[in-house]
Amino acid sequence: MAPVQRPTPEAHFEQLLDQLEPRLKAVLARFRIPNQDAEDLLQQALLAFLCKRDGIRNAEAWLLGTLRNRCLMYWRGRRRRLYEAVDTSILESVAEPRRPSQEMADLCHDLDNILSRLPTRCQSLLRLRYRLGCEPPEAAQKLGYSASGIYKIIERCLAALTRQLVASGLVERGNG
Amino acid sequence: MARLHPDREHISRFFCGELPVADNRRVVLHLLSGCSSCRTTAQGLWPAAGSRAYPTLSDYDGAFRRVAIRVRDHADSLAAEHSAAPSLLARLQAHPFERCLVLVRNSRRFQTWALCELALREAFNAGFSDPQLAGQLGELGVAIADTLDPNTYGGRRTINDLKARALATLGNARRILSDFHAAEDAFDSADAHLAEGTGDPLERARLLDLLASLRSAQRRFTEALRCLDGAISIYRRLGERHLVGCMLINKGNVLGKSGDPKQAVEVVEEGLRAVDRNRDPRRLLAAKHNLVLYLHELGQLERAEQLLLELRPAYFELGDELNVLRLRWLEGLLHKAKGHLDSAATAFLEVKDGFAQRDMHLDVALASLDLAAIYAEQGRPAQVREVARQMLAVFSALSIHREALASLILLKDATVVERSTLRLIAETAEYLRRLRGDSHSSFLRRLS
Repeated sequence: MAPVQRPTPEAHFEQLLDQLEPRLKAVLARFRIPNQDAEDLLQQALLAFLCKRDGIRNAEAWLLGTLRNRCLMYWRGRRRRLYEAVDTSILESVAEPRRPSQEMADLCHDLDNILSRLPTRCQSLLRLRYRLGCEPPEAAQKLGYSASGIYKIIERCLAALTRQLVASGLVERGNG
Repeated sequence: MARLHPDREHISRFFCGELPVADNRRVVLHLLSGCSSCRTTAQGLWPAAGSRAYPTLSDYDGAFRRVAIRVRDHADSLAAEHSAAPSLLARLQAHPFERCLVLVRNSRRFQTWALCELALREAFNAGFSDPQLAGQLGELGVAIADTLDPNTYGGRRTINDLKARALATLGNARRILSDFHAAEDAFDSADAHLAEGTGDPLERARLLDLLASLRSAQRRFTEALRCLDGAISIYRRLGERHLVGCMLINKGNVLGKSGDPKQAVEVVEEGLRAVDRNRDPRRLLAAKHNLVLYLHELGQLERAEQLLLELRPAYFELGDELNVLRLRWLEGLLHKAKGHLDSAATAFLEVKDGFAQRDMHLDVALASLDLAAIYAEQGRPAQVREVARQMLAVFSALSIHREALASLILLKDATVVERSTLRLIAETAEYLRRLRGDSHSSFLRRLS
């Protein structure tokens, strides 16, 4: 009787790829990953699998779970960069020394307007940040937060602020 | 003057983080002004909005095809690296350790994932017989991980996972060498890298397992148990029954060490029912070894002896020299418990000499104290003094704590063996066990 040939690791990987293709695509679709970024996420997950596979018993569960994680991190990173862009834009604008006084007044009005729609603790925090120029440790001290925990709170408040930037119902300047 | 509205393309690129800083500012200030038409556009492009349609699977056909081609090429080169790793490690180990690190940093040939993983596996295995080598291999693994190209191995986060694993392995080696501060540093660094990793739960579980060993050695048993419960939870979620069993065994060991042998026996037995007996014979042996110890502590000598008899061949089959010494130590304890003091003394003497050959001074001391306890029970003060004298010489040279030295001086000077002598021996042994785990513990000396 001929000995049973076990598939080589390469053949096993090919089989796995064929088998999992629809489910991997489904993960990307469920997270609405843009096509150009999907390629990177998929490649990273598959390369990581090839590197780590000696220690992985359930390849299917690991690959699908890893791709899901990558998708979550992708959006977390995108959101974080967006909040940073909003934050930096406002910080630099309010700090700009040569901004004409009418423009500065309009900016402050718009800022107050949008901040007033945020939860109370975000209003306090972001007013300290934008109107009084408080750094996070100082703001933490004034508001009674821990020095390490303030950064998470700032991120949540920036998320709320960014959502308000695109929220409906915002009163346009000059419309009362 | 016409209002300058950012066009749709601009707003889309803003959400994608693709605009220069100055353009970001223009978009933000414009949205801040409350422009309703631009807000409506932004809502449609807002990444988290539910209004965007889900892609179809076929939308990813092209991406999948391109990735599959690239990854297949990588698979071949990764397989070649895997095959080359053992000979590369052998080549490195032919050099002095410091030279190995230079070679790794300067020669691309040694900068592979497979070589790093091999070094880490060897580091872990070396911990059972050659802790110094384990430390060196752990450092080698860390050095190799630092050189790896993220583009080749799935990105920066995947590399961070491996760095975390390397640092945890190094921390484990340092723990075995009783350098707990250095071990703590390594684990802190491992944790930081894992936080910037892929989120792979297997890596987190591995780190928790090794960290639990450090916490246990530091006698921070509550934290050790918490780490192990975390690992158990992860492995249960992943359906890894054997690894759940392994973590239960480790948990049992922590319970035993914390002074709860009854609970330890229950948990270790639960773990033994779950593990795959063929998969990790060394761990199985260690678990049963500790089970014998706990049964001995509970006074269940017959059951302990029976189990040890069944286990004995496995110690020699596995060939870990340190574990063979520990077998002998266990035999000595059982002899002592049954009142066979001469047999116990012979065993403890062999163990003491075995650890002395490996420069494992605290283990030498503990075995010596077990031996001194036998001599004390046999009413042999000269032998007690001689053992204490030998330990004093070693400890003075190593700058061991003054309190331990003081108690050894008392033992050395004891002219008769009294109950207080036995108590002093027991307290010194307990102190040294704590010293292995806690360098700041105080030692209360009883006056004889």
